[in-house]
Amino acid sequence: MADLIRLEVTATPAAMPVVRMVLGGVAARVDLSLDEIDDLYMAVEQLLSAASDSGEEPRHELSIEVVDDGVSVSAGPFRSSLLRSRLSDDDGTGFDLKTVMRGVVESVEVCAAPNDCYRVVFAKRRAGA
Amino acid sequence: MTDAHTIDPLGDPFDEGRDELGRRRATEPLAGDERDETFDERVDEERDQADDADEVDETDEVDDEIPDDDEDDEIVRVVPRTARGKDESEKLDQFLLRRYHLHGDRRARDQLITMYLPLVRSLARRYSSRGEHFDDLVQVGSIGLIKAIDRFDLTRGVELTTYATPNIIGEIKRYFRDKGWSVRVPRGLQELNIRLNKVIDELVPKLQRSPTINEIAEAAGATPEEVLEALETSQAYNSVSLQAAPNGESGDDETGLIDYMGTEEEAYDTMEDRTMLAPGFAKLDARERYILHLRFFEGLTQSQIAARVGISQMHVSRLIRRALEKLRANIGEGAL
Repeated sequence: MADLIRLEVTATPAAMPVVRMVLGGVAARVDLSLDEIDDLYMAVEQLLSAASDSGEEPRHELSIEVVDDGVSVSAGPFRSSLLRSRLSDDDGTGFDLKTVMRGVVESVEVCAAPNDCYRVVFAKRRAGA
Repeated sequence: MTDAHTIDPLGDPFDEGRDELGRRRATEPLAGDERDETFDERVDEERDQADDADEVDETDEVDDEIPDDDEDDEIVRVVPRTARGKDESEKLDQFLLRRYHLHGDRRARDQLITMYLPLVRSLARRYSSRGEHFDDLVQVGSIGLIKAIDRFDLTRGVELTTYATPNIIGEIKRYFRDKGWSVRVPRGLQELNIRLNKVIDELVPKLQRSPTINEIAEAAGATPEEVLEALETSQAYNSVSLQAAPNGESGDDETGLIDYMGTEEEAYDTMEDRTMLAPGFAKLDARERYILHLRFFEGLTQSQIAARVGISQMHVSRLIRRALEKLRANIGEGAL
């Protein structure tokens, strides 16, 4: 059975060190490199910042799961259509959330959640895995 | 007393203080109360001069006299800077240091401090464009000077300048290091963080890839948990810390993080792709645009960017975050 850690956090800068420490601890167990761990941190930070900018409630649940070759994170639940569009569309600035997320993690999915909400699931895998 | 004191415009800038205020020679006898009175007058005079040290006319002539250490009956006659040798300057320092350390003469200590304040200013000026107030740097540099004077060992046979300079620089760099942390981080973690920076820089070329936490821990002699905690502290390290000493020790050979930074590459200016066309990028500086371009459009890892730009991986990480924050702030609603 894969390890699963659930964190309920307020998306504030003060909470980020705790999130990073937990993520880092899990990622270290599967031997992600320093670069890969920092990418994972950046994905969480950018997603939660964007959620906050999109008017989402500040409290979110992060499910961190060890997978064979890396770490998977599921964040949510979210309701904002603006956040959803940012994850899938170009925003015209030439440098958007979608670009950042796809630049730092291998996969980003928007998955349906109860009560018309959705979760964002992304994974970071070991290089060469 | 009609002594002459001139400034050597070509003198070592670190020697400003002594150029302007010190290196006085004893050539005439002085006895009893007259000597003490002259000493006090000279201290007062030099304190006044120290306040205006930067404005001292190079052709100024000042009267001065001090008692010689070995021959108390003599007074000092100031001779032109160009006519005074290094030995004479050292003698004055030695005289005052002996007065202070052997006789407990606080006036001699005060005078040394006053004489060397321009040296502190000169060293502080080197760091004054790096985010901290010049006056604050002079203040902390002065602490280094006072420590150097107080700890000076007369038997070591070194010059006070030689001993004081690294002490002053060390104090200034320590100030940058401590100020560089936006939240208070225990000294042990700061030092481990700094050590990790070096370890990572060594491991990347050796492994030809970014190291894992376990590899870093093994190389640093720490546990993976300690490494994660120390790495986390780098998030609390603000931009001022670029000037901080990476090893946290005093000494001339200290190198600030700024010294690890590469020079601007031509590529900063010649990039002509969508990175440059992105509206939000206009608010970023050339290096930030270049690093984001390398990371998100060229697909380079942080370690690869670090190697290309000539800075540490941790620094690349901080720069990317800072650039993304700027983009968020500048683009506002509807973007990142």
